[in-house]
Amino acid sequence: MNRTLAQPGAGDAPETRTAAASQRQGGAQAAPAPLHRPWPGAWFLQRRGYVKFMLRELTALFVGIYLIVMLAFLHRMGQGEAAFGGLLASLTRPGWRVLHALALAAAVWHSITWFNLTPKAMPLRIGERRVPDAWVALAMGYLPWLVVTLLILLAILWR
Amino acid sequence: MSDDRTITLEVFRYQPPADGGETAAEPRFQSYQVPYHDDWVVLDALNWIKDQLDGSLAYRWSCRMGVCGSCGMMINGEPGLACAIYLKQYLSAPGKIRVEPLTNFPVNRDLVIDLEGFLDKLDRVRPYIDREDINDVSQGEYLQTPAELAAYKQYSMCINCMLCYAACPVVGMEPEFLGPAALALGQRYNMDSRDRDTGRRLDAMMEHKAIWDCTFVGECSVVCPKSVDPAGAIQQAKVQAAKHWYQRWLMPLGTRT
Repeated sequence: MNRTLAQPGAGDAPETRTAAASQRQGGAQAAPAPLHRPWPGAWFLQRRGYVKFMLRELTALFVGIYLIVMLAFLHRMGQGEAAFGGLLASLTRPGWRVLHALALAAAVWHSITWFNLTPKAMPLRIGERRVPDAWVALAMGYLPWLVVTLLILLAILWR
Repeated sequence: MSDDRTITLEVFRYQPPADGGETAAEPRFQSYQVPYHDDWVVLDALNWIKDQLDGSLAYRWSCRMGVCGSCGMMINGEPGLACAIYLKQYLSAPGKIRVEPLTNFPVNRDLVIDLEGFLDKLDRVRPYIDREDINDVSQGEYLQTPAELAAYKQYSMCINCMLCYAACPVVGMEPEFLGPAALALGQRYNMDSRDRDTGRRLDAMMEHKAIWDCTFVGECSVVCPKSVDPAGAIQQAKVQAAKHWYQRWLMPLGTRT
């Protein structure tokens, strides 16, 4: 590797590489500085993929809010049955019900997007062949999800 | 095949200041009427403009068949290879084609972007088989099983067309970010069974403005004309780098990963 990092004056043929730097320093023989175009403020609206990415990231907010709700439950539980019941009652108010619905939708979307991305980070190979991404997502995400959901539903029904 | 139909190309024009000059002309869009053919790609239209209308138009191209990676540009806002995108898909709607240099790169002139920053980034990931025990030629090749080849082959197909950099919002906000193609190429060598100094490369890939800056938007993989999947490669590099980092604390001193 003969190529040197772009440092003014370094290397055997630095003229083109360091053109921008020399121009900033007022170099007379330098090539003109390239044009830098501004980065749009609302970049996340520019592509469908960006919007989906932002939605995916925003779901973390709701997951975080629900974590705080869970912590509040634990806290109230330590204060006795009346305190726990009080929190439970206040969480059934209409405003909270809307948040529960939003949080559920966000959590489902959060799970789906990340289950689908899992095989990208952890591809599975058997010999020369890559196991299809859908199988990995199914085995590592959706099936355990289904099993856990069913177990919780059973626990609630048989209470 | 040829008929009287035409299609409009709105081409981004930027002329740098002339030698010694200080101020460049403001960038602008210039419209050209180009004959329409079903089998013409955007590159054919640009070549026609350069031959017939305006010889001053500057753009890069070479192979015309999606292997050289030279003709990447923004076509109606989408990063694409000008040699692979047909005029046909824009004829009815929107009826015109806006051609710009790839976003997230400085522009040298018209559609020609400045690649120097990328070439420096490429250096940083040590994109070569790194090992000190180099066999003599008489000892033959370093052998590799088909499975070992398959592990990284997809990530070796990159043609450096830079579409992934144009699609990456992290590159847009953080120009120092090593970026999809460079990191994917680094991971290609991390996964190569012949590589022996993977730890050193992972150290470079773990630095600031490298793999951990990637937020997994995933658009780099969407626009990649070679299905390299740089987003996947970077996530795998994250897994490998995390293992490498922990191993350093678990393994006896003096061992190398």
